[in-house]
Amino acid sequence: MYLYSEGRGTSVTGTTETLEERARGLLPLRPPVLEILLTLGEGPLHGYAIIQALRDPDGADLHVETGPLYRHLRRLLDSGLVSQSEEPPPGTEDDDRRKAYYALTPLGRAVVRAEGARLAGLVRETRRLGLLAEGGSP
Amino acid sequence: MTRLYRLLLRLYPLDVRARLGEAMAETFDEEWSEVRERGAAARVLFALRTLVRTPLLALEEWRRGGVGGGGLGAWITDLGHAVRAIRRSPGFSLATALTVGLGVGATVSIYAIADATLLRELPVLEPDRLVRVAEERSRQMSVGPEGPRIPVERYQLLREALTGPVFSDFAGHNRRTLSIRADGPPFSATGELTSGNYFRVLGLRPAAGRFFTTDDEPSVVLGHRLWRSRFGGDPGVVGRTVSIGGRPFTVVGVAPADFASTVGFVHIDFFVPVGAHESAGWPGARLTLFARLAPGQELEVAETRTAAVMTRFPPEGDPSAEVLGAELAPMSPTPPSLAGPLKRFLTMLFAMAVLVLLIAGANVAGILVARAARRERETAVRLALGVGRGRLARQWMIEAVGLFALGGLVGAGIAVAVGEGLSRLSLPLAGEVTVDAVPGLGALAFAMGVATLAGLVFGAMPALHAARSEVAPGLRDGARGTSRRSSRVRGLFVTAQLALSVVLLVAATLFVRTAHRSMTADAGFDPEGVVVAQVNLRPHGYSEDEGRRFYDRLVAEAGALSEVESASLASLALMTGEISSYGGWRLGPDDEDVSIRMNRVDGRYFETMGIEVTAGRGIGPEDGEGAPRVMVVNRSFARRFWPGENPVGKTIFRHDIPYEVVGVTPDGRYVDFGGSTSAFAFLSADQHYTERMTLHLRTRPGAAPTELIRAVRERVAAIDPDVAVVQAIPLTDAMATLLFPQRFAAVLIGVFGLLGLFLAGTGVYGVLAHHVVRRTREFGVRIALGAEPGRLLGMVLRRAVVLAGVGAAVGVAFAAAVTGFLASLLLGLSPYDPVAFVGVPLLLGVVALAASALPARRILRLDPVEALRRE
Repeated sequence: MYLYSEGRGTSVTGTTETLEERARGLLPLRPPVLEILLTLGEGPLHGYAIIQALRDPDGADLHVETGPLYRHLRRLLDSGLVSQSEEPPPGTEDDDRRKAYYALTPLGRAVVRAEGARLAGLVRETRRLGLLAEGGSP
Repeated sequence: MTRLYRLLLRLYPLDVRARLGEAMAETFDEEWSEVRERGAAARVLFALRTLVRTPLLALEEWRRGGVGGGGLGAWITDLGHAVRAIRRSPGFSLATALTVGLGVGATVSIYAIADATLLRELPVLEPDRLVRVAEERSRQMSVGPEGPRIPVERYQLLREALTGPVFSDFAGHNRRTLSIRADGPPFSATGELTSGNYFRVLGLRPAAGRFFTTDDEPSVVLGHRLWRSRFGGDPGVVGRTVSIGGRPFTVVGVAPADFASTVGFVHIDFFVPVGAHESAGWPGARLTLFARLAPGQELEVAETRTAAVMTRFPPEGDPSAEVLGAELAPMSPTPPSLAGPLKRFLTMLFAMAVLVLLIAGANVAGILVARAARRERETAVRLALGVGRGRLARQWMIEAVGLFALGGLVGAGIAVAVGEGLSRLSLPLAGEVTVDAVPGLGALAFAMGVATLAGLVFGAMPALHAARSEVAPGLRDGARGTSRRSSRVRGLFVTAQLALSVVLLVAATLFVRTAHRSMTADAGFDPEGVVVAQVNLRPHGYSEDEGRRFYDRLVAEAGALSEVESASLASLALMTGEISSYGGWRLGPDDEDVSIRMNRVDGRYFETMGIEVTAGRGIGPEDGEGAPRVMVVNRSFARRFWPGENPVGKTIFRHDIPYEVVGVTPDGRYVDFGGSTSAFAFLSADQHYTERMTLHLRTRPGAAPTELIRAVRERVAAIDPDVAVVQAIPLTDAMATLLFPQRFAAVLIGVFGLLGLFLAGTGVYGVLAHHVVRRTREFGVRIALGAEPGRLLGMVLRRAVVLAGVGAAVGVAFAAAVTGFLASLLLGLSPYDPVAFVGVPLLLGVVALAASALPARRILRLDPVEALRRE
């Protein structure tokens, strides 16, 4: 089930489940959600830094704009994959401070891991069928 | 934009806003500042996307909240329904939003211009306590752009008498163009000569440094815009010395950023105390007056008391100019002399923009009616399921208002883009004129209000239409029932659109014809290829001998330039709005003095300007300083003083000095495009020295004016590095500037009209196509029974002709009723110009026929078997 179906995220927050089980319950992720989570993999970022990180490699165009980005962030916050903090990550200059920073929660990390493993499985299966060469190109 | 986004964020539910609002606003700001770097197109697209998308995202957050049940819940459900309906057909929604957006954008743009020029208050302390003060005289000696002017000494007398009981403070000012020199070459700038208390009366605070306090300290306050553009916004400029008109002035301060001048749209570059200007050796200035009313003082009382003081002091100079009283008027950002015409012009444009909005509204309403007819089955099902008719109508209303509101957002975006474009445009009218017409929050709220109102008005018809649907027939077959009625309603909307388009196009055609006629009419001279450059030596302290030498050298050097065929000097350039009249002329000792418009020219002027001398000779080199005074007159002049006689050889006196008429020119348009030609005379410049001259250069074919203008500036700077060319411009450009209102109106209304016509054309197509589809089966039967397709075609085309005919007739009648109001802008063209009133309906006919081509083809290709098998 996509992360976007409301309520599903909370229904799996039963106390007996492990972090991994809860994470698997949230899969698969929609591509932009996975991308946002991946940008946070290196450490906390503020909103505009996420937008910059999500840019096309050639930097030509904005990939996600403010409004849609925060729609994703709101959902990720609600389902406990991301946390929000006013404290900047260490090493931020004082005149470069922002209102809010976003970071992966342990559940968020588990979800990224699980999704990565799932995708890796899909890639292996694609290779096995001979549809994808070893180097990556079809 | 960032302010607007914060406003849009308020649409989000409170919990989301509390948690993410600030972070979103901040991220948006950073995103916007990056988008701004990428040029106008990216900016507009981004703004439009944001304006449309943000409310939808906010609504989504509300829906997540899962409000249910009656009351507000039902509204939110309906809202959700509307949003789904809007998103389900994005093409249709985008088209309607764009259509409405164009109408709203047009309206808001004009509103923003009116706001910037007429409605907004001056950015000064308590502007409602400021008044313009003018002396009423039996004859005004001097009138400036902001009202009558009086000598400085007289102002000082009045100030002494009036400050305290009537005014808490009383200031005077006068605009003057002077050359400034800081580090680089000199440039010409618009300055304000002010009384020392000017800024105190306005209640302003300097952006840097201080303001001056006395009438005569040799200091200058820079205008904020000049400070930014020429001094890089460096506060360190305070204390530096700049040269103004060749004299040193110390920069003491910078005017605040939002203050352009006492006229909302004129940017003053620098302010100098009027006394310092005088003590620099320049001739006495005259001042226009304004004052701050004393606390508790009322305007009428102040006016009476001011009049009492003014009449006590006898006027300067001519004793016949008796002081009659005083006139006090609230200080609006547009001076009274301009406010009237500007108001009329903007009201006219606003009315045209409202027509566009009506066309757009009618267009969308027509489409909504058609859509309601198509969605009959859906409506019937919902009625059968027990949804109330009121609720149904409400859902349709919400959908319509939603579409119009989207249009409002698009319109706001368009208005912002137009405003930004306009504010970058500066007009070389009296001084530098810039209209800061970027819509503020007020204008944007106005946009949304207009759009919502239009949604309510134009959504009502389709909503009622839908609510009146019958259940049974709607379920039985999807296409009959109310279709006939809906098609009639649509026809009505299309006719209205056509009629309104006719009004717009007639108005636009009138303006195009006016501009074209004015530019191509025989002006009595040949402006093509003439470049004019104005130089003013008055502030530079030249004696008459020095001045004559300066101009002799300038015209000789300019004439030697390779691009120049002929060079000449005259005191003013024709057809640039400049007028100079001289009084004191009389034929005999017993006649009354009259005042005549004239120009002082040198020996090569007639040749350079291509003015024909039909009898006698032109002004020549023999008419020098010591020679007998001569003049060349135009036909009107000759008719006025010597009707039926040959004027050559006649004599006329000015202050008892005889002038001999040596030549005659045809009547030409010399001052402006409007009205009739009047008496005009050319005097010899050598016999009437003036410090202000305009160099006239006729270029050789193919010479580039910009190159030439640069060369002229270099020559002037080579003769005296302090002297700047006030204005250098091809004469045809200067003339076109005079026609700016007409050209602006022609382009704007023309675009409006063509858009309207295009929309109306799609409307005609829609109605006919619908008509053909609805009757396909019937036509099939008829063809099967042997009817000629041509006859059926006639039936459809007749409908097109009726639509276009009624639309054109109503439109022409409407246009004839309103174009009379445009007469003052048409410069002599009849407001019932046949070209406009015949041409536009013809164009309408062509569009209607083109719109019926596709439906017609469908009939001609109708296969009866296919037609009967349908349904």
